[in-house]
Amino acid sequence: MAVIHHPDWDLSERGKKDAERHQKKIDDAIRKSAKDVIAEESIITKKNGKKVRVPVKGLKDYRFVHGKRKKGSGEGDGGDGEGAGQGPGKPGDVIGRRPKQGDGQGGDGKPGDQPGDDFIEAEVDIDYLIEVMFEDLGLPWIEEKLRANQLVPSGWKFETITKKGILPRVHKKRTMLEAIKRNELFAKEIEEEVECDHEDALRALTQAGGDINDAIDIIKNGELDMSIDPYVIIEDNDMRYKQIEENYELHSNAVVIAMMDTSGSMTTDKKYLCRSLLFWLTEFLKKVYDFVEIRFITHTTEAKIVDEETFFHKGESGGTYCWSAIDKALHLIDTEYPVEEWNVYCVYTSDGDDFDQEKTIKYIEELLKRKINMFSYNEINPSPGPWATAWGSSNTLIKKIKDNWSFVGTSESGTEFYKNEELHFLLSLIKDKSHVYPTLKHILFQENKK
Amino acid sequence: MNKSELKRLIKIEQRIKEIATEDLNLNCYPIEFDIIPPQKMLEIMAYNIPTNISNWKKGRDYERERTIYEHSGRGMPYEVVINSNPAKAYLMNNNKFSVQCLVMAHVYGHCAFFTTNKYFRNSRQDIVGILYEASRRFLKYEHRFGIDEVEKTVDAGHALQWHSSPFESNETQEEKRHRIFEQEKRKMHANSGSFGDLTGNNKKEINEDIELFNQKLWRSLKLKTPIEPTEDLLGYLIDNSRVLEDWQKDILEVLRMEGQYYWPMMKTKYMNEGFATVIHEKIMKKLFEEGLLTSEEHSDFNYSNSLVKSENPFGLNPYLIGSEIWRNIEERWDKGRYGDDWENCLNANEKENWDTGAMEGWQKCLDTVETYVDWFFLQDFLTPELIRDLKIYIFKQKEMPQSIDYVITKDEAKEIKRKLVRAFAQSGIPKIEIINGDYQDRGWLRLVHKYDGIPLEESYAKKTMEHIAYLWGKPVCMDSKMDDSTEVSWKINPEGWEAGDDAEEKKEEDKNSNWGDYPILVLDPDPLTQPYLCPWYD
Repeated sequence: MAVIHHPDWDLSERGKKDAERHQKKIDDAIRKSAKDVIAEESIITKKNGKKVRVPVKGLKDYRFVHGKRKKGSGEGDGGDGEGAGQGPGKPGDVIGRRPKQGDGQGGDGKPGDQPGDDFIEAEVDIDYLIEVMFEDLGLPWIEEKLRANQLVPSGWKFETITKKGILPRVHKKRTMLEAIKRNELFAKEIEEEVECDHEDALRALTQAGGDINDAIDIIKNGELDMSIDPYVIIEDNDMRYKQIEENYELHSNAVVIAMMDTSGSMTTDKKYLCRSLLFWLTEFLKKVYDFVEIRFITHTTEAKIVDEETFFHKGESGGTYCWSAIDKALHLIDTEYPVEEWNVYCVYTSDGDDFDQEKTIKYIEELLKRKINMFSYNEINPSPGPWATAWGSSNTLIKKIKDNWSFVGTSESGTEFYKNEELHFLLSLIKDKSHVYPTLKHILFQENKK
Repeated sequence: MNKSELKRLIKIEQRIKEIATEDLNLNCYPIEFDIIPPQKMLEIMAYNIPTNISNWKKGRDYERERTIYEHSGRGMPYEVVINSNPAKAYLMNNNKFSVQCLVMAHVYGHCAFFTTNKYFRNSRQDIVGILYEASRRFLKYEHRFGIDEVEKTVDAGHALQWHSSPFESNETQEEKRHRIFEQEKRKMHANSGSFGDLTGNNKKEINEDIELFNQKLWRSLKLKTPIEPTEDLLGYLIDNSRVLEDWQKDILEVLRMEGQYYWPMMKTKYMNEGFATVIHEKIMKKLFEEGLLTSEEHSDFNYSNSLVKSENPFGLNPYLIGSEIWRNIEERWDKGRYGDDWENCLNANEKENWDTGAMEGWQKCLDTVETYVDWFFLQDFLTPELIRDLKIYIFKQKEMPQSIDYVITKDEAKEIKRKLVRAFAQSGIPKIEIINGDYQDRGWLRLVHKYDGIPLEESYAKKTMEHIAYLWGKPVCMDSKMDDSTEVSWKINPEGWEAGDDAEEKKEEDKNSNWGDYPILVLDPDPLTQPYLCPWYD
């Protein structure tokens, strides 16, 4: 018989097992490309979700294949994007069309490459990405010694015992102990009063239902019932109740004040770079230190304290007074986070197009006087755009700051960093996506180098 | 599938077999049909052969097939057949009854093709068993030598396995050396013999000292490796690499054999699928005539068949093109429309009604099955009329300001034929030869790409060279051409690319990352090796 039917096919699914191997390879690829991946828009624009889809390169099986000829090398057979198809049509007819990559927004004129072939979209946990980056970077700056002094509620506990309370919270053991103690005391008193033995005293007490005078009378009158087994009688006075209280734990007293310029000169690109940087900063800190407080300030000509959601997802526009944000930060420090009790870290991002640089410098001076743990100023300066030409791209805040304080400069991956160790003052310049990662490193790991 | 259906299927299978072997005069191995659930089919799709070795690539393919199937319910073949003895074919249990019949008839077509075509003559009929044993051995290697090492070797083997044809000669090195020696000597005689003065190039001094010359030639052949340039990359590496362990050689040998098994299938895809399609149409017609299938099933069949044979604006459908060519052959040879008389006849009316009643069509088809491969098949039988009837055109990608457009550029039959035949002749595998295994007298490996108008994809070529360097253990060099005048040569050390090369490579890779866009005349770089049947342009 040539047709075989197995109703019970062995579905051991070794395909799945090998798929796991493939997944492992993808994970490795993610590891390798984590640095490139973190600046992907999809990550921070995705609200609340903990999973992001990131393109992963590679994982192809390479072999010798034909390629396409270099442009301008004449007509050839094959290559050059030529293909054969079937259907109605004559020369000149367009049979298909696909948009160029970037939907014209980037418009860099590169022939579109569909990621389909070259990239695999992998779904990744943000936590996993952070882990990967930690492996690369080590642990960031807030050290264990700082983790003290802050009382943080961590649920409820039972500690005190009281005589009043509700029945469900009876402390049985303590209640019983009290009752036994009192019973023994009564028994002793009865012994002394009527000179009987301990057991008879207890028996009398039981017979009398706990009343000491009745018990004495019973023995005196010889009415003691010897068949009774003595037991402990509990009175209201013996009752003990548990009392619940809030529980506190000691935690780090560090606060990070994240400030961002949301003025009109901050184009979508710039805001995006800002958010990307601060997003990762907060994600990092939240991951490692559960109780680091992070406060968010946005500013145009006025500064506002906002929540995280607003900070990362809302856009605004208007003029720019950088000092307003720093003023707000000063206010926060004075009212809620005094530097004597708190480690204060300030991170400020802007494009540096400030309407009143002099005033800003004064406020920064003021901020540095407070002896905060770190002030980091990150200037986003993608490419000289119309604003830059109008105001002069060299005339930004970072220049002004550099003129006012002295810094030691370094450069990495095409971007510049400056620091003043004495004042714990860091500067960095972010020109494009790829600078986000080195800047993160610069901010997060500055302290470790000491 | 319930019992009565199964009974009916077994009965029909009997009849299909009779029609195939008696009416159509086909020669087939016995065939075993297994009825399997979709999950199993997904596995077979990814592994090609169900017992194939485990590897992350198979996992990736499995995942891809599964995703497509689970999200769209499509992309599932009706059938897969394996060229072994007995042949194994798989039917999916959720196919309609008429589709099962179509598939069984189709499988008989494939099987007849495997049995008859001479390029399958050297195919290992025991491939299923070989791979089963190999996958068990490989698992043991993974335990002993680590999964990473095994994977590295397997990846390298996969990269090179398409370069070994099953028609490598069985000569030993010694025999080969003698043959080359004789050839070279004969060349000398031709030059120095009695008519040497006519052929020019007459070297008197050699003539005088022929013994000495022969001795020198022999000594140089002794040192030469490979003795003559070889395309069998894996074969040469297995025999000559000094860094490969025995278990690695075992892995590579198995993969080489797998490549050899696929080789004839790649060379005959259009013939094979077309032939099987003709067969299933013929057999199904007969089954309907005999009333073995209901009229409702007839309409199911017609629908499925139309999916199989649909036109694809961005590529050629082998089921359609192949079957139409076969039909055309049958018709022409039935009516005697071939030979000088036919070619020289200029009277259109006469040609229109040409029918000698030769009725040699089917025999001609069977003869053609025996000796042809795809490119030769197209060369001989893809007539200009057929190209017009099949509405084949050439298109190009054109970059417009907002989009990439696919524009038809050519529809002249002659030009199209020339391009197609050329593309098929290359069959997607560039010709790479090893010409020196002791390059620079330092044991480097030297490869040459036989440039034939289409350059290598550089990023791919370099990655592949990394695989070769891993197997060879010493620097590997390759010469190629980027176009007719630009020669390039790459060198890789086993440790990796040298600094300068590396930077260049990265740039290249970015530039070429849009390779996958081209649905190209350069045939599919990842050939659908295993014949299977599925709705083509879905």
